[in-house]
Amino acid sequence: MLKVREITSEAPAERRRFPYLSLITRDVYVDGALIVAIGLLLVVFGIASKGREFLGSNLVDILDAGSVLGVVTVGEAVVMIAGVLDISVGSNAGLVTAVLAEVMAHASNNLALGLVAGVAAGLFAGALNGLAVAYFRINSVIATLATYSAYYGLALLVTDGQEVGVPSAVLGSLGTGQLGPIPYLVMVLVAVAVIGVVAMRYSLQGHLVYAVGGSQTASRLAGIPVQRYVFGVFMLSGLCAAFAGIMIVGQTGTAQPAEGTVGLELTAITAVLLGGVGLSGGTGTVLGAVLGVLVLSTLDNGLLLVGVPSFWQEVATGGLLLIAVLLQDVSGHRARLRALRAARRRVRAQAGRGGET
Amino acid sequence: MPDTNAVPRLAARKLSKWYGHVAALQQVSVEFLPGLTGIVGDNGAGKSTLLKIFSGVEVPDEGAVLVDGQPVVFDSARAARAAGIESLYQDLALVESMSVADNIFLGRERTRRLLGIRVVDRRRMRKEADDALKQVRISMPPSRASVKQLSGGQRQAVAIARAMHFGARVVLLDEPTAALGPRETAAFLRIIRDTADLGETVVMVGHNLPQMLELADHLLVMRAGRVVAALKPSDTSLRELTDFMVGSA
Repeated sequence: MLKVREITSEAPAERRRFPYLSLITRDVYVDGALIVAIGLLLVVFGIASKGREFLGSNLVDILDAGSVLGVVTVGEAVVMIAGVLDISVGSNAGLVTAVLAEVMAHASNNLALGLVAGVAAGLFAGALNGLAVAYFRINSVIATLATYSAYYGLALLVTDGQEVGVPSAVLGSLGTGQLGPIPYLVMVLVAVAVIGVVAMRYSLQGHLVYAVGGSQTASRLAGIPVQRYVFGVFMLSGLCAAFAGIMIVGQTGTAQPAEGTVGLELTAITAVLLGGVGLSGGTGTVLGAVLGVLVLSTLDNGLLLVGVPSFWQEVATGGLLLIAVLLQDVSGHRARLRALRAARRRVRAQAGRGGET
Repeated sequence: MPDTNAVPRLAARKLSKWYGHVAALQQVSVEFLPGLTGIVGDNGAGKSTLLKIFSGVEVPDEGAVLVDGQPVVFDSARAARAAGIESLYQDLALVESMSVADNIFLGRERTRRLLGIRVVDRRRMRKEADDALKQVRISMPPSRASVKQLSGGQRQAVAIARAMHFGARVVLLDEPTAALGPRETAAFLRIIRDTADLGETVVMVGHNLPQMLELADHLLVMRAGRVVAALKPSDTSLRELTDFMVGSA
């Protein structure tokens, strides 16, 4: 018969060390590595371009070029921390530009009306994604792959496949103007990034997005409204796509359902993964994802300055992603290697004692 | 000793539940007294279904759940929890990527208001969690450690600490030791026994009959969706229990 008390009193005290209490958490490690990577890229390209990379104006260019991608990436990062994926953000941004342009064209260039319609389109698209994933329980990859195609088609339908000009001085100034040395678009990126980082780090809602991404089952059993949160992150992603669409119209002065937005979602997902957010959800930070955008933007900018054909940029981006993901897993690999070595030593020690039983 | 005249914190009156044409529960009436009640029975006897109804996961087709003698309807796990009925699930229901403190407060986060926004008060959660963990006497890392790094027994301890900390009046356990090793099982059962000795009402479904005879204050035997026997472990034997389970008694 089982003697509960006696067995436990004989159980030896736990002697495991607790390495996870070290100050360098995985997130800090990833963010640090990304900052080092950005620094290394700047130095390498700085030398290769004979110092042009270091110019302040060029650093601003890097941020400016990453602004649209950055805004989309903040939304995508939240979606991925929640353990789902939004492939439709690029198409959604394109749809926003199309709706904005068409509404303005039919409302005697009323900018306010155009902006409201554009944001509404982005939110509507996000809501549709959220509905499909959270309430109809369609896998997020499949659902947003479908809407990726649908929103792209809708954008072409709205504009009849034509590029539509948006004659708005205000939007043009947002897209190309600057306050002092800082372009307005960079300010938008910084504002969206700061809100994203702070909200996910400190707010109750951000905390619960991590919980839902970590385990939907555990979250549901704890009474967290999981469906509402999944729906919410898609709305947020739609809102970010709307901002990105407006920024694109500002940059180019036209609605660009095809150019400028195609592929945006994959680059955003690349940046999020670079930033240490796992595909399974619940891990990583918005800050990491934004740093991931800066790495990509610095790489593009440097290769351009050095005069490397733009095709190589794509290859370099892919290579970088693979290296980054390998590095992020390195601590896991190291722990396994350590355990393996210790196990081999034990076996050898046993063998050395000469087959005693 | 438990006061047997008191109104039971948790009881069921003529509960029935069908899955299609299969009756998982038929007219089950039970009362749970303070201390540890063990529920045993063969697979498909209705043990888990009964616990799921008490924990708000399933809704009965007939009959009622009584809390403090009052009939209640749980429309969700949250509702059961609000009534002081805490469940520990077989798969533990913890978020591995989060810290021990985050898990203890999952769904009941401590927050403070900052500019009208609810900000998570991690420091307070850690402090309270460390206190809660002291109640369950098992070696644990500080509460800011991630659950991913804990052993199965430590995870169970986290789940128990969660239940105790929020003043659970009834703790439901469905085969809590199924995933644990021998030493962890022993440590965990000690926590359960301690909890029951504090006067909590603990209900535990289990397959290990000798363990149940040793540990429980009251035993219920289920077969084919019915409670076929309510026994005192001191008045019964392994043989008798088995006979009730297979229906030869």
